[in-house]
Amino acid sequence: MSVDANQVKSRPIPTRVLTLKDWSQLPDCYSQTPGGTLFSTTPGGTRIIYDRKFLLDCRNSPLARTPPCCLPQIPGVTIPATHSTGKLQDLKEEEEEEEKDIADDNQFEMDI
Amino acid sequence: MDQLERPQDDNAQETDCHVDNADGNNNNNNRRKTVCPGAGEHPLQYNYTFWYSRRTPSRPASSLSYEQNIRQIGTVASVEQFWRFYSHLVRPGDLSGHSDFHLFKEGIKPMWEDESNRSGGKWIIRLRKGLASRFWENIILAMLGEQFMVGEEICGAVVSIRFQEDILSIWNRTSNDQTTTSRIRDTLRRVLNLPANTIMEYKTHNDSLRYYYCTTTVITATITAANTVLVRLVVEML
Repeated sequence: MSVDANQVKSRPIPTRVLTLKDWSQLPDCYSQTPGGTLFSTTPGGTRIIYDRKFLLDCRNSPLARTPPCCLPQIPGVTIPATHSTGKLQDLKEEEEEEEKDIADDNQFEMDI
Repeated sequence: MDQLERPQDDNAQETDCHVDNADGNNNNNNRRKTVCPGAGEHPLQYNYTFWYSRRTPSRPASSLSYEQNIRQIGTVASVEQFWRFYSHLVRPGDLSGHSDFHLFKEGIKPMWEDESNRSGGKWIIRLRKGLASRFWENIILAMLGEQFMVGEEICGAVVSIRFQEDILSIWNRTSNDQTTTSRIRDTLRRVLNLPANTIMEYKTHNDSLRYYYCTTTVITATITAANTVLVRLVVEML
């Protein structure tokens, strides 16, 4: 029943202090405030605030997946582009293919 | 211009759905009914409208043709509606030619001349090819999620696909409000994780406007081939 008094010590909650010289050094997990921003209150009153993670999570909901009801048909933007022949276009497409690969590589690096 | 109005449907999330595909000239000045979040959806602080514009480089730009070349894609009032549209749009990196996507608050046209933009300006970020899609997504998520914390100042964001680089911009109402522009810049640094050595530039629309109108007079006054080439380069710099 008696606890070894020597082993039970009070100590402060372990914390880690980061000195930031720049906003870009903020770790991703900083936002623990309700609403998810760095600021504890919202200047100018209550605002609807969503952080990036929450918005991305909403993407998977069934409500977000149905096609929009009145999307205009724009080739190359909302519907597949009509196949255009022409050397210049092919070259450009090749260039874009390469860059898409590079872009994808970057994305894999970024997303942990 | 005739408006095609659908009968109001209580279950529809968007009440202002009309599409005029018949004529290519999309009249963007029609007052539309406000879109509302559907049941069970997460509302946004503001409604936003997607726009798309494209210019063939051979055609000289003018204020009138710009307005005709830009068209609305749709307006969203909730997170889920946003994803519905966004998921059905080509990614900016896959756009061809001289194209732009704009995501602006409902009621604000993505043009300098709009009342909300007249005293405003924009932060612009030039990106090498291949980065536009990812950064566009991050900037609009930050805007929709109200991460900028500058009250009503944000007007919208633009991603511009160009030949050798891409440009991201975020427009705000008051160009001489240093607190606002600094906070926007800091938020951009935080949410975008830009590559090292990326320069952000702030331009007031008035500067662009003066410069742009100056070059227009050059375009109309000269017709030789050499000058046409020079003008095209100048316009590209805007």
